[in-house]
Amino acid sequence: MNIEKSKQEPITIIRLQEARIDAGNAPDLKSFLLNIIEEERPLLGLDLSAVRFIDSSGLGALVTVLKQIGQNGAMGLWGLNREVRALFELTQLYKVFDIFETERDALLKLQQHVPA
Amino acid sequence: MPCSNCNSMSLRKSIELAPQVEKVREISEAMVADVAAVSDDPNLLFRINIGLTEALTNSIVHGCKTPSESVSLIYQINKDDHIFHIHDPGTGPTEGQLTDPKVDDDLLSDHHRGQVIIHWAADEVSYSASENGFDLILLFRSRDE
Repeated sequence: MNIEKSKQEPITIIRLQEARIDAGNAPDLKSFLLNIIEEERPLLGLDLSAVRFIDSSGLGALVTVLKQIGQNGAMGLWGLNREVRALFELTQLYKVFDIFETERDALLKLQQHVPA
Repeated sequence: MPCSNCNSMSLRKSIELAPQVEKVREISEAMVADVAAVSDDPNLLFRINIGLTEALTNSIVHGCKTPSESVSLIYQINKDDHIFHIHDPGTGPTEGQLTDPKVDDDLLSDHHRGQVIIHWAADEVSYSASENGFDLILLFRSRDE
């Protein structure tokens, strides 16, 4: 799976470089992200700009990661194209994920989760 | 004006899939390419891609119990509608998931999400289950959106 990882302390930024997230690669994505969030207080920014297609397996992988983060941290998404956004709306997952228009907005919000 | 070449615009194919979810991408995108030859509606192409992806993945994951089993797909692409018939050896989803799929009240539950997407994507969904397996027929056509 093609993923770029960087750090903008204290936020880990993940840029998915896959056009399609489906049952063929969702398990790899889930494992990768679960590995990252083993930190005590994970703050995860997920850039989906390169993703043109995501199915229920891909959405399920993100849900698993969100549940694992729970109240201990936060995850913000940005870069959703029209089709990907439509699936978040259809499945009502937009209600449980923090989805932002821009990376800047997401990082600002994630910064608020940092303890003073 | 009536289309004098409509019959020649119809394409019918059948495919046998080994139970490997990694193959779904290739098959779904090939179907979309075939439909794209008769329609440039991006919404229709997206719905076919996601609807077939969900249906084929379900058939492989839930319908095939052993590597020797397989999923068959017969599809017919016409000028105005596109029909995909998927058969697997399993028993299919439960009746409730098929007739009235709803997003689970617990949004973080993984149940039913695929069925919800299939019913949104396809314009008509029909199915039957028998001792020979489960049959799902999806029909897609362009929508005024």
